[in-house]
Order: sequence, then C-alpha cells, then structure tokens
Amino acid sequence: MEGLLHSSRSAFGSSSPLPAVGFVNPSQPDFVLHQDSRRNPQTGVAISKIEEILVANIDALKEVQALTIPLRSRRTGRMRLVRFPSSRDSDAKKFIDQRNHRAIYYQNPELFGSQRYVDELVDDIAFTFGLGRDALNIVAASKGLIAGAVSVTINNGSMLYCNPHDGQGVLLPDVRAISSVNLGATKWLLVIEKEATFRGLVASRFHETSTVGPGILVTAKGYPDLSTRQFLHKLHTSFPILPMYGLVDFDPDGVKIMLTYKNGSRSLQHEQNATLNRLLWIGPRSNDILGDHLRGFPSANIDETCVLNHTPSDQFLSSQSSAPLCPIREFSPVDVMLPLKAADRKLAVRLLSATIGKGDQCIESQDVVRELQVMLMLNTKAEIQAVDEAGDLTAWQGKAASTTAQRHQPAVIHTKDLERGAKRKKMAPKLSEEEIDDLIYLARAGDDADLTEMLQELAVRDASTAADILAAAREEQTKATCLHMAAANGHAKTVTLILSYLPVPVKASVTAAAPAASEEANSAEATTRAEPAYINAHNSFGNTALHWACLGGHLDTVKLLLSRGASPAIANDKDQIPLDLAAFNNHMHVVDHFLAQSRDIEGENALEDGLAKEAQDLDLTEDKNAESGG
Amino acid sequence: MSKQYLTTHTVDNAHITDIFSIAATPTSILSASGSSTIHVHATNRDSFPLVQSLSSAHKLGCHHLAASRNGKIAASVGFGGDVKIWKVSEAGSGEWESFGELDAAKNSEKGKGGAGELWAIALSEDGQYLASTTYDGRVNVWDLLGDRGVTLREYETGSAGSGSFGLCVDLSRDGKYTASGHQSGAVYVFNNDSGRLQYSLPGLVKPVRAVAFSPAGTRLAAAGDSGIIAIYDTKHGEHVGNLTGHTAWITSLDWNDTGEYLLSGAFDGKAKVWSIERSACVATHSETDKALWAIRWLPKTVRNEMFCTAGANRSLTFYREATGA
Repeated sequence: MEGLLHSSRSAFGSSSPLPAVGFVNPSQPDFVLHQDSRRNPQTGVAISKIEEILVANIDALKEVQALTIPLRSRRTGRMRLVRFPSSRDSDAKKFIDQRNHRAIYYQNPELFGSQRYVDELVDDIAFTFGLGRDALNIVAASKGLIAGAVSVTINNGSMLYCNPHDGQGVLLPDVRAISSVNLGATKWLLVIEKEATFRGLVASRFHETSTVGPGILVTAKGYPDLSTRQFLHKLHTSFPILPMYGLVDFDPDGVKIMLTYKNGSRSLQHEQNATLNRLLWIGPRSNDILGDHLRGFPSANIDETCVLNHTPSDQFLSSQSSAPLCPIREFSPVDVMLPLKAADRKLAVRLLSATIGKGDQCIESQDVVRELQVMLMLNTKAEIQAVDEAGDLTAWQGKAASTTAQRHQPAVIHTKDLERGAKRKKMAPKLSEEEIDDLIYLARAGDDADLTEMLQELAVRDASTAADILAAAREEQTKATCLHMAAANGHAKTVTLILSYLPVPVKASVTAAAPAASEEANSAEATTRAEPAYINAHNSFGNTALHWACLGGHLDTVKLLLSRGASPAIANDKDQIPLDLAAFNNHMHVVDHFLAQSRDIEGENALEDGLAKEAQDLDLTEDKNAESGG
Repeated sequence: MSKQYLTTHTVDNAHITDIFSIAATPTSILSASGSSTIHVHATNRDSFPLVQSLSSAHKLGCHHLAASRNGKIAASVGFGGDVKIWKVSEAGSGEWESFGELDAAKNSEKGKGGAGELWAIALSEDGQYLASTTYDGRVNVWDLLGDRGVTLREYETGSAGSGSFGLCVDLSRDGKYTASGHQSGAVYVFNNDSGRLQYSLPGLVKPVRAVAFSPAGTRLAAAGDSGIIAIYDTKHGEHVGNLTGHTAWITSLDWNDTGEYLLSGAFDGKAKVWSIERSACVATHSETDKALWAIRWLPKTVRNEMFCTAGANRSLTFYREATGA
C-alpha cells in the first residue's frame, strides 16, 4: 500500500506535461511540451477538467476515501470510475496514467507493458474530456532516445535537458520545434542500433564517465525513423566538429541501419535533411569479432595471437592496453556468432549491389563492400552483445582512434568504457528453480562438460556472464553454491572450471601496471573486491566452499581454493573455521597443509605453536564426535 | 626434418580488395577478389607479370574461382550469384576468353525449381565437370560441355531446401567422387558413378571451410573453424588422422602433386606445410597477419615446388622450396 502510494505520488511529481496545472518541477525538467499550450484554446478546457478531478481527489484524500477518476471507454462510450487503491492491477495502471504518450510509457515501462496500452489510454482520456489529443498536449514523439549533457531549447522557450536521472533516456523532441541546441561540454556522439545496448550504457552513465569526456548517446531502436534522423542531421550540420560514431550489429541489418543513418533511406529519398555524412562506423567489424576467435584455442600463444590480432597501426594505437587485455576465456565468443540466414544473405547481396551500383569509390563505401563480402564469405554474423561477451573492445578503440586521427579529432570512444558499461548493465540473471537444481546437480556430480554447456547457454540467454549465472545459482534451502557442491565432493576439476569463470584479479592488476589508464586500475580493483564474494560465499549455516572441502578432506580442492584467495579465516555459525572441520573429521593431511601454510605465513604464530597446538587440542577432544558424526 | 620455403616474389596489391580465391594452371595463377576483375599472372616467368585482366567479370566481386588441372577451363562465381565459365583461346594466344555462363536458375531435371544459387565450385581435371554447393546444402555436378541447363548429379544433404550451407566442395581428379564441407561441420563424399552418398564423415563439428582430395583420390582432407585438419580414407570412409597446430579458422587446403605434402592457410595469416607421412607440420609461414583466403601449390614444373598465398592483404605471395645442397 505504501509502495503504491509512493509510486503514484512520484508519478504525479514528475508530471510536467501539464505545466499549467501547477505540477511543474523546475529542478526536474525531464521532458517538455512540444507545443505552446497557451496557443491552444482547448487547453484551458482540458486543464479545468483535470483540475476538477484533482480537487475531488484531494478532498477524497482528506476524508481517507478511495481516489477515483472517471474514464469513458471509446468503444462502449460508457463512463466508469477508476479507483485507487483498487483490488485490480489494471486500475492501478490506469490511475497513474494521466500523462504524456510515449514519455508516459517510458517513465514506467514495466507498469504499462506496452506502448499501445498507453496510446489507448491517452485516447480514452481525450475522449473522456471530449477533446482532441493535442488539447492534452500529447503528441506523437520521435522514436529516438537521447542521453547526454545537452540541452535543447524548444520554440516556446522551454528547455529540454537530455540527461535523464532515471537511466531511461529522453525522447527526442520534434526537430521542427527546436530553436537551439546547447552541446555543453560533450565531445562525441554515439548512435546505437539497439535500444537494449543504449539503455545499458545510459544506466552505467557511459555518456558521463567515459575517459574521453562526456558524450551523447542516441538510439532510434532499430531502423531509424525520419524524425530521429532529422534531429541528428540538425546536430550534424550545426556542429561540424562533433564526431559521430555508429554502433551496429555485424550483420546485414546492422549495415543497412548504419547506411540509413548515414545516407538516408531509399523510401524517403526526398527528405534531404536526414543524412549524416560524417558518421563513422566503429563496429563491431569482422576484424573485431573474428580476431576474438583466436582466444577460443586454449593452446594459443597469447602474446603471439594478440600481436597478430592487430594490424600494425592498430597495434601502435592500442599498444598500451592490447596485449595484457587478452585473457584466455573459457567462452569463445565465436559461439555467440550465428550463421547467416537466407534472408540475411539476400539482404547482404542487395546492399552490396546498391553500394557498388552507386559507383562511389570513397574509402568508406569500399569498407562497407568489404565487410559485406566477408560476412558472406564466412556466412557469419554477430550481435553487439557478442562483442560485449568477448570483453575486449580495444580493437575498436584503435579503429576509432585511427579514423578520428585522420580527421584530427581528439575524441576517441574509449571502448574499455563501453565494455565496462556493458558489464555493469547486466542485471542479475533470472534462473528458474529447475535450472538452479540442474546447475547444483552438475556441480555435485562433477559433470564438467554439461556444466560448461549449461553455463554457456544461460549466459547467452540472459546476456550475462558465467560468473553472474554462478552467483545466482544457489540451492534453495541451504543457499549452497555450485562451488560448495564441487568442493564438498572433491571434484578438483570442477572447482577449477568454476574458478576459471571468475575474474582473475592478479592478472588484472598486472594489466594496470601498463600505463593504459587509471580506469583499468579501477576496474581491476573492482574485480579484486568482487571476487571473494563468490569464492567465500557462505551457505545458510555460514559454511564456505572451503569449509565443505575440509569437511570432506579433499586436499587438492582445499589447495585450489586457497590458491585462488578463499579465506581460511572465515568462521561459520558455530564459530568454526575450515581447519576445525578438517580436524573434527580427522583429515589430518588437510590439517597439516593448513598448519604448514600458517607456519609460512604467520611466522610468529607458528613459533608460539599457536595454531598447531590448538588443532592438537581439537583433534583430541573432538575426535569421537567426528567418528560418530561421520 | 623441416622443409624450407623462401619467399620468391610478392605481387603487391594485385587487387584493390581482399583476394578471395586463386586457381593455378601449369603456367599461370588466376586470382579473384572483391572487385569485379579477375587477374591472370604468369608463373613461368620470374617477375610473375600480369598477363591478362578479365574486367567486369563479376560486378559484385568474385568469391570462388576454379581452374582445371590441364589449364584449359576455368569457372568463377560472383557475390551476385552469377557463374561464368572461361576457356583458353583456341587461337593459340594462350589468353582466357568467355565460355558462357551457367544458368543455375533454370529448372533442373527433377523439376525442383532450379539447382539454386551456386556458392563453392570445383572443376574436374579436364574441366568437363563442375561440382557446386548451394546455400541450402545441395551439391550438384554439371557437365560444362553438355547441357548446362541441367545438373548431372544432384545430391541433397538434408531435407529438401534445409540442408546446411555448403561452404566448400572438391572433385577427385578422376571425377569419381565429390566431397562437400558444410556449416554444420558435416563432410560428405558422393559417388558420382552411382549418384549416391558414399560417406558421411564425422569429426569436425564446427563449420568446414575447405575440403581437398589427394591427387590419387585415396585421402580427403577437411578443415575449418575447429582449427584441425582431419584426414579421411576415401576407400572406407575412415577418419585416419588429424593435423593440429593452426590456432585460427582454416580457410583453404591444397595437396601437392605427389600427395606427400598438404598446404593449409588460416585466418590469422599463417600458411603451413604438412608432411602426410609423418603427420606433422614441416613449415609455417606468416608473411601477413591478415586473413589468408586462398593458398595453392603451383603444378610442379622443372623448378622447385612452389606455392602461392593470397588474402586480405590483397597481394599474391609466391614461395619456393629451398634446395639443401
């Protein structure tokens, strides 16, 4: 109840589409009207009607009664009251709905479910008032979203500040209503094919935190609509020094989308002001994606493959970071690549034909031709996500740098940031109970092959990493992880497998030694901090995987866990450290290992015979218990 | 003992884009690229001069090229699906001239609505027969001297129209067998006499980008994204060995004249020579770090054995075996 009330309040709080009603929150000009409300004679009528309802509702609030809004269905023409609070979910939706079209939807996409629902409601509201849509100041917005520290001045003097606080992006205003745009300190613009990628980057505040300075992110969600392209064209012509980059899939549709942004669409050729000649295609490209497959070979000499991965110029440009950033990955990104479908091939040939047909010999169109031909040759495509998974986008950095170098532009898309953004955007994967059971079972059984396969599948499905999947997979009752299960059963190989999915902090900090940028050092630190969380995860009795390995007396596993940073000092709910469990169960070889370790590490302690003595005591006193319990 | 090969010559920027395919005749090497022109370089002269350009051969670029061993017939396939046949002029100039096209869209004899757009091709020793694959996994054999409108043999590798993309194909020198490699990792050997599937060869799982019969036709080599070259016995369809060592997708394979050595090219720019007898790599060359799309031995002449590599660096690089003493 409180939660609901809160959500309705916040919904009203930001309902700036009805500024005249007095809901303007000047500190939060998330979006503005596209028309001057004062010029519309019907607006007054609409406002007074809304005010009537609001007054009635305020009265109701005072009297602690249910809030109601009358709503007339367009289909039946009947009036009915929407109540709040209500027993029905749909009423809650409708109650909050009194606002602006697409922006309404994007303020709470989970609540409304679909844009169509919002459209229908908007029309219903308009019908209820007996007014047109425009009287409610609701206009069909462009499909595009923008995020970045940019402000747009609309003809009526209102300002649209495009830096969303909610990580959602702001709808692009109608280009005809724009009187001026202030780029502020932004240094680059990245056009993104996919809304999901856009949202991920916005949520991670890539446009603010990129090491090359603040920038602008734009997406038109797939094939761009005219108004998005017009808006970009306006920026393009108004700010000739602003570099623009395109981030599209490595597939024929991606290429076509890139070309549509760049050259306009065939069906709308009469629209002259919708092209972006300077748009640079930063990728992913065949070289980016195919370069990664080398890492799929475990026997590959890493230094060698890294060198071979880059053309000499790329190497020069990204030499600071390229070599150390190529860890062997258990996931070959090649697995994320898909064969082209018949339709993909047809489209690729059409695009090839169109590009060559233009007889345009510029380097960029040759580039497009080459990428399409390689795509066809290899019969392979890859989505942006595939490169995210690869985790190493430095090749892009090199490319963006080299292409921009030609244009004497200082800005470079720092793809390390892209990568981090992509990582951060991943939400906790949602695993079903059965999937968790399966994962736990496979770890318990030590079935490495199936476990690998399943982790891979789930990671691809949920667009996350195996590490995320592992973190999410915990037994319902005991909260034990896969690592617990593998460790308890002494499957050293399985433990190795699981650990291999976790980030390796040691290597990462070596990377940081390269002068690659402090960003990397930060991320290395982050992984150092993050990793112990999984390896030291405890179950509902406070036992870690190391506890369980000790319980079973699996020395190999114990050594493995310790070598990967498992803490030997964590006590469970009964205040026992892993050593205790080994001692109780008479696994003296494990106990000896611990003591040898501690002698090495804690010289002083060993001199005093502290731990050894204690263990000796335990051994004597608890021996019988262990036998009866075991 | 490893073999020594030396770079004898490089034709820099032989094409303006990636060279996707090359084919060797006794006296020349033909090369096809992402541009519309096919080039012919003489291999019997020291400077490997360009002796002919077949301009406007394939408007959208050419991805596959094959030449018969006798050097009389060649065939090329463009990205637009166009198939052209070439022959050496009978006038004696030694130049290539058009020998018509192959119209794959015509109805095939079984009335299945055409043989489908061609992808990979291979020619028999005398150039009479052409084997081809399609996007939907069909493998066809054509008689270039007979009626080009019909297929001689038509093999399905899946249910109609849903087979796995045929990435590569080869014909045995005697024309008896056709082999195809597919996106699914499948390798098939068909008997052209009986018109039946002879063997379905297991083992590679990942896309197979090259298949090649040994000169005597007793062995078949297949390789692709798995980075492994699998060797099969064609008599019994047995998997007789693997050659491992490439660390990238393998794009091209070719046997030398004697069948003792196998040449392979990979996506990381490396070319390797393998001794079949010892099942080992005897030479590795990486003149470039860009993808190799095609590698070919030059038919053995009086000189030492030579091979040629080509790919994304747009150049033709020629290697010659170094003689010991």
